[in-house]
Amino acid sequence: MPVVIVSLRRLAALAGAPEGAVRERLPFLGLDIEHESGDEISVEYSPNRFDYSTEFGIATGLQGVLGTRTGLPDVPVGPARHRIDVSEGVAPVRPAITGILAYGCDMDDYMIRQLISMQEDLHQGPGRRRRRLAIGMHDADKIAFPLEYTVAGMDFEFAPLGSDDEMSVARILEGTPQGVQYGGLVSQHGAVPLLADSRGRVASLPPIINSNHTVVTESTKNLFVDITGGERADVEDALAIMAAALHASGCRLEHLDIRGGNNRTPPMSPRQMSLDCALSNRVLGLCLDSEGTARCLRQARLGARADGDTVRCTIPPHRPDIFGPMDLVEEVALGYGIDRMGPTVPDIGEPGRTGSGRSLDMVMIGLGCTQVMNPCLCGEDALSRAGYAPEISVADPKSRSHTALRPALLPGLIECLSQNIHEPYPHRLYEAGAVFEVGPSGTIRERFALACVMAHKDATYSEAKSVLSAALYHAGIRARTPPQDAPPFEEGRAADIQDGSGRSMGRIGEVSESCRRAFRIREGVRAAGWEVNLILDGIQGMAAP
Amino acid sequence: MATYHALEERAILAMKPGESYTIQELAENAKISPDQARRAVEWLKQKGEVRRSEGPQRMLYLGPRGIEAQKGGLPEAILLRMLAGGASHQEARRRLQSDWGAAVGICCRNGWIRMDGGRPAIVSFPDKIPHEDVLELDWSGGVAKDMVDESFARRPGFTVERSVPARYLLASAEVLERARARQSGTGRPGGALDVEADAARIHAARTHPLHDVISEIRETFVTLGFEEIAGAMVQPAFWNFDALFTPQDHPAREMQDTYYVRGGRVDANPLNVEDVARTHQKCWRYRWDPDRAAESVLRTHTTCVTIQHLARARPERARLFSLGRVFRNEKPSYKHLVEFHQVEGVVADPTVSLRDLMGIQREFYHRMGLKKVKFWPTFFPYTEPSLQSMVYNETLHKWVELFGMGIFRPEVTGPLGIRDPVLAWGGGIERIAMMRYDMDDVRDFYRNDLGWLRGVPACR
Repeated sequence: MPVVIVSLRRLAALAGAPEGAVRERLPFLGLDIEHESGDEISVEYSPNRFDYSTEFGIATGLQGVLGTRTGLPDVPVGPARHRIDVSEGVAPVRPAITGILAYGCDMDDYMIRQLISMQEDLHQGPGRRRRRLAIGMHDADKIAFPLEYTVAGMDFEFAPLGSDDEMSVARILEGTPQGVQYGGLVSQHGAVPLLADSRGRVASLPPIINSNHTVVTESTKNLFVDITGGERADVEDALAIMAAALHASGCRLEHLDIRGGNNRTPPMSPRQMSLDCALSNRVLGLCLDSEGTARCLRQARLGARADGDTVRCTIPPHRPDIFGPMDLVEEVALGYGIDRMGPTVPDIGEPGRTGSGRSLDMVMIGLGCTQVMNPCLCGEDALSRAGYAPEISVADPKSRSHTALRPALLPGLIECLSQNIHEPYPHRLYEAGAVFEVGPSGTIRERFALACVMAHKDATYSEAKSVLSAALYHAGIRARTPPQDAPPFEEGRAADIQDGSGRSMGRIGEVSESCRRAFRIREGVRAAGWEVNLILDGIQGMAAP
Repeated sequence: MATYHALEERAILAMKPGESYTIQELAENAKISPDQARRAVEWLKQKGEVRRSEGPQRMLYLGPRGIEAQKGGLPEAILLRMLAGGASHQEARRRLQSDWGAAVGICCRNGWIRMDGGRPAIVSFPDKIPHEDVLELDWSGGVAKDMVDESFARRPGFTVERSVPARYLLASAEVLERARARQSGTGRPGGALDVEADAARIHAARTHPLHDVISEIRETFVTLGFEEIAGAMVQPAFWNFDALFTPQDHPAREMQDTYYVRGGRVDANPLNVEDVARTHQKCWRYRWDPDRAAESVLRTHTTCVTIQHLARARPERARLFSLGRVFRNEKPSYKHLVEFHQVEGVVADPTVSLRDLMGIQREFYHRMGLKKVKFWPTFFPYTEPSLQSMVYNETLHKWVELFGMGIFRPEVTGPLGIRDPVLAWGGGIERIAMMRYDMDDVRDFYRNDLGWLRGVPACR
């Protein structure tokens, strides 16, 4: 979940409420307090509420639940005086662009940090690492409108952000960190999108880097924001979120006249939706009339007007997360206050039941074996030391000890023996769980297996077979053990385990000396064990995990 | 009145009055381990029933050169006597061979001879040649080290040092009688057991502590009226993600968060593909790709199992739960595992509300022994509204996030043909188990440390 750092003091000032009340209500907006240090609080916000990516947006939400300001926040935008022209060439490269002007910004270090944090969160979330949308922020006074959104070739040169020297586009793509990371999003077209002003000065090479000319500093007074991407709806949603925050910070907003392609001046108009109070009450377990429901929605900073049994809602453009009536139901709950919704207990009705069959756990415990639990995802090294070949692996694992799905339980059990050589002997261990194999058609089959190992100075095949026979007796299986050599067992001291109809259901044997050595099991300690497949025989022996 | 522990009794019965035994001998006679014999003797010594007759001590035995000297004399004595008897130095040298240098050295140092142009000449013949008396001791059973002159013990090859274990004997014949009487069950007071003595520690075989918590959770769900359903761990992306309204370009679906399986696959087995695709395209604005939905992943939650069951069985009313392992491609840490257990309950019932779900969950926690519970709003991609439950950890004195809950979004249920709202709740099991066992590193559950497995009380 994305995190935003806020100041309790500033939040209280913006929300118009005491700090204590602000601190107490934050979790009930869905903001999870991660860390507190003096006045600074790190809060996690939900990845569908990017309007909470700045203090300004959070303050707007707080005003509602604290009752200082409710209903639709008004975000006035003045008529356009300036223009962005979109050339046809951008259509195959990055067709959508929108933008806005913000005047009278109080651009201190704190404001810049808030805006950059919001920009980054939008890039990572709905922007999908700038593929779906990328935001550029510029000093508007450095730009001679109209701007042109066009394309440039690889040899076109300008000075990118952080550099006083001009560089070719090709060099920016190869030689700057931003170029390396994001160049691939546009470079396959042989031309890159470019935003340049009427004097030919570059503002931005979206979605990669801005120009150095329009850099935003603490002396910036007026801001120009551009957002580019593949879909008009995506860039307009993000712009509405930026605009709401800029307005809440005290800026005066002004539209831009955007023409060309499928682009337009963003309407920034609210949507209408109605909510049936009966649905809201049934889902939440409340009994509010339509006026009460509307009041809750206004506290959640939506426009709401009771109309008979329904509520007519007005949804601001910075709330693209609201898809339908069920989202409005959640807004009712947030406006009402989750802490005021006391839990109720319905009838339990019919008794339940588990899906697992008869349990062999008690039998294994009775036979003196202690249960261990190993992960299904194991390291290929442990498998090969026990003589097993990993068949099913996972792509790009972050941990080297979790790379393959186990084909058997025995390697994990033998590894347990090797990790416990300092513990008093005898060791008698068992594990029950899923193992994985690939069927003839390449289909993965999950089976349920039971395995057991014993280690002490006199552990033998006979002991293993005694335990096996006792366990299988209680599972209703009479097994035979014709000789068959297989790892991890010693040659001549290993057998196949077959059920009454002669089907192989596992293996048993004395753990070979080479395997014991590979697992560094102590000199003088012998080990034996077995593994059986219980699903094969239609017996789900144990509880599932 | 002496009372005996079983080990003490066995040790006493293995001793004859007046005879002494080492621990090793006693262990063999009594058929107990040396360690047990050592403990028994230690206890009996404290009670005055057994005493140490000798040792442990360092003993010296004659080494090869000592044995030679015992037979033929000390090299310095041979040299002195040969010279005194008129033998030439060549004869003496032939006789002494490799001992020549040592013999000359000793005689010179003692001032018995002096070297004159490479030839030894007698200066004075001593009354007594040191070490000759030592050789005359009875060396057959060794000699205690402190009985032997240190300069003799230091002579190379003359002695070998060994330690001899202590020997123990019964303090009196009555001790044996008392032990025999007790053994024959004559019931005399002398035969009472030392009932306070420690008994040997043995370990009960047991189920894994995490397994115990899982069983308890399963039982609690059943008592709350839920029925268990199970499903595979390798799932098609369709059921793990697409059916749950997770867009195909969502970061959670990337390889750095989700395990994509290589080397085999499972059938995609989708349902109502057109409706699912249409919903994704309308709400998330992208082109839905059936190939991505057909990829095989290790399930990231158990919801893929419950939603599939609901979509196929379409029960009018149901309380179901699914419990099992789930996977996240992470670096393991003290609070994150790549593979952990999750439980998830769903309630399909048009009359059940979010407040009811809060109530069911509070009841679940109460039955698990967690008494203080509260709820906060949160976000999950496939539920709306969504809540997070918090439970007060009495040991850490803080609120801990536990299960999440919510109502499946209409964008999830609608395309799959489920008409009524479905409420869902669940979360990680290890977190509850960590609270139960006061653990601060979740990886400890899978270390399978026998010391821990044997040590955690099973019925606490």
